Amino acid sequence: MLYEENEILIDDLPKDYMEVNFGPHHPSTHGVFRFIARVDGEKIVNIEPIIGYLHRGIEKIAENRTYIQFKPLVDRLDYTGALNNELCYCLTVEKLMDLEVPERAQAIRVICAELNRIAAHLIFFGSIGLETGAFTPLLFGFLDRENILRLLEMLAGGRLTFNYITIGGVRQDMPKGFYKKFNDFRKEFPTKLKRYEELISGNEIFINRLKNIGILKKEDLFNWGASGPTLRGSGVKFDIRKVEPYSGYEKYDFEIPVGKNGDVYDRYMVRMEEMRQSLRIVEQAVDSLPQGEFQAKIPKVLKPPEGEIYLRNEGTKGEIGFYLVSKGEKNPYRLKIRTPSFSHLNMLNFALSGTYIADAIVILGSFDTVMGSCDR
Amino acid sequence: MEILEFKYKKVDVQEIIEVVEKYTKPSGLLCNFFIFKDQLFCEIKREDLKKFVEILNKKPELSFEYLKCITAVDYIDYLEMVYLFYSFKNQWSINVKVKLDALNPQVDSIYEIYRAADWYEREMAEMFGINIIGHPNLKPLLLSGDEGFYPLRKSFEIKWEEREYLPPKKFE
Repeated sequence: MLYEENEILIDDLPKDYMEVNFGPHHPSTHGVFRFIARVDGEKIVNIEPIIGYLHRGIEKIAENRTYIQFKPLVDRLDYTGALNNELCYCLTVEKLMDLEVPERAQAIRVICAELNRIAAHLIFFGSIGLETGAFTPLLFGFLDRENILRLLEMLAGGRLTFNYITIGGVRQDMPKGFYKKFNDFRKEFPTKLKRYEELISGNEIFINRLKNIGILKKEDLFNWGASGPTLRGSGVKFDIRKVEPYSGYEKYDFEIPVGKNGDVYDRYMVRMEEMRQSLRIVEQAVDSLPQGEFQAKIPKVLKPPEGEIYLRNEGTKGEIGFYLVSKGEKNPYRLKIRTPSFSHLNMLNFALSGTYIADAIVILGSFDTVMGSCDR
Repeated sequence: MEILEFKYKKVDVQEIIEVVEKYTKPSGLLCNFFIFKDQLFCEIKREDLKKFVEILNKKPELSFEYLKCITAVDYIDYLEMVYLFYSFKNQWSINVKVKLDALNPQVDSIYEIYRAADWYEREMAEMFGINIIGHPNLKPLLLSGDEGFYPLRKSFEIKWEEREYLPPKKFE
C-alpha cells in the first residue's frame, strides 16, 4: 500500500532537480571555471556556467597603453598558444598601418606559430587522457612539448609568454643552431606521434569512452559561433589559414583534417592530425626560409591612421580576432578581443544538456578551453 | 554527416552591397554602406536592427549564419554597437553598426536569431551599461555586478594610486 502511495506522490511532485556545484578549482576545468549543473538522476538537465574569475580588464588596459606597450599582455590571453595571439594582434596593427612585413619575418612567424600550435595540441592530448582516466598521455605529451619549447626558447628566449613577434617583423633573427636542432626534432616527432596514436587513439577503451558522446551538428555550431577544431570535428572543412590566408600561409601545402560524426572522438582526431599538418608547414617554411631582413622599419612612436578594423586568424583553439578602433593617437581607442574559448563556453549549456554527468568533463575537455582567453 | 568544404575565394565587396540592398530596399530599411580597407561596414537605425539581422540570417542568398562577435565603442557623444557577421556559403563579411544614445542606450537583443549573441550581449550590458531589450538572462557575466560604474566607458578612468615612499621607522 505504502509503495503505491509513494508512487503517486512522486509523480505529483513538481520536478525538483538536484543542483551539483562544479569548480571553480577543479583540475579538469582547465583553469578557474565554475558551473552549476541541475541533474535529474544521472542526466544533466541544464547547466549555468559562471566565469570571470580570471578577468583582468585587458581591453581597458589596452586603451591606456601604447600599441607596443600593450603587446606583451596579448600573450596572457591564451597562454598555451601565445604566439598565435601575438601574430593576430601584430597583423591587425600592421593592416591598419599598411605596413609591409619582410618575407623572412613572415616565414619565421609561421614557423613559431605552427610550433606553438603543436605544443598546445600536445597539452590537449595530455589533458584528454587525464579526463578519461589515463595518466600516461600527460607525461608523454609534456615530454614532447618540452622539445618544442626548447626550439621556441632558441628563437624567442622565453618558454610560455614570448613577446617575440613585433609590429613589423620579429624581435630577433633565427639563431644559427636552429636548423640542426629542428632537424633532430622533425626526425623523431612523427614516430613519437605514431606511438602515441597506437597507445591511445586505437585503444578500445578510449574509443568506446569517446565515441558517440557530445555530438554537435554543424548548423548548431554555426549558430553558436564555434570555430577551429570544434567546427572541423563536425565535418566543416573550414580553416582561416586557407580561406583568408595571412602571413604567407597560401604558399604552404597542407591538408585540413575533418571529422565525420561530430563527437568527442572526432574532435580529438582532428587535433592529432592537425599536429602532423603543422609539422609539414614548419618543415616547408624552414626549408624554404628566404634571406633578408627580419624586421621592417617602423617609427619609434606608432600612430596608426584613423579607422577601424577586424582581423582574425586561426588560433590553436579556434578563431582569434581583434577589433581595433584607432583615432590616430598613440593609444588604441578601443580594442575588442574575440577569443574562441568565450564562444565555446557560451555553447556549453547547449552541449551538455541531456548528457550524463560522467561525460560532462570529457565534452568540456574536448573544446580545449583556456580560461585566460575566456575571461580576458 | 556530409563534409562541407570551403576554399579560398576572391570576394567582391560591391556584390555584397548589391545583394543586401536587393532585400532591404523593398522592406524600407535605410542602410548606409561604406568600405574601409576591403571591409564592408553598414550603418542602420537602432529600431531596424532585428529586422535587418533576420534578413541577413534567413535569406538563402545571403545566409550570414555565423556571428563572429559583438562589440561596442564609446564615442562619448554616442555609443555604437558593432555586429560582425560572416557567411560561410559566400565567404562574405559584413560589419553592422548601430548608433545608440549615450544617456539612455538600449538595443534589441538578437539572441533569438543568433545564440552566439548570448554572452556577448551580456558582456556589453555590464561593460557599457547598454540595456539589451528582450534578452532572456541579462545577468552580470565577468563582473560581480555591484561596481556602480561601467568599466569600458570613457568616463571611467583607471586611477593610478601614487603612494609616497616612507623610509622604515627605526626600531627604538
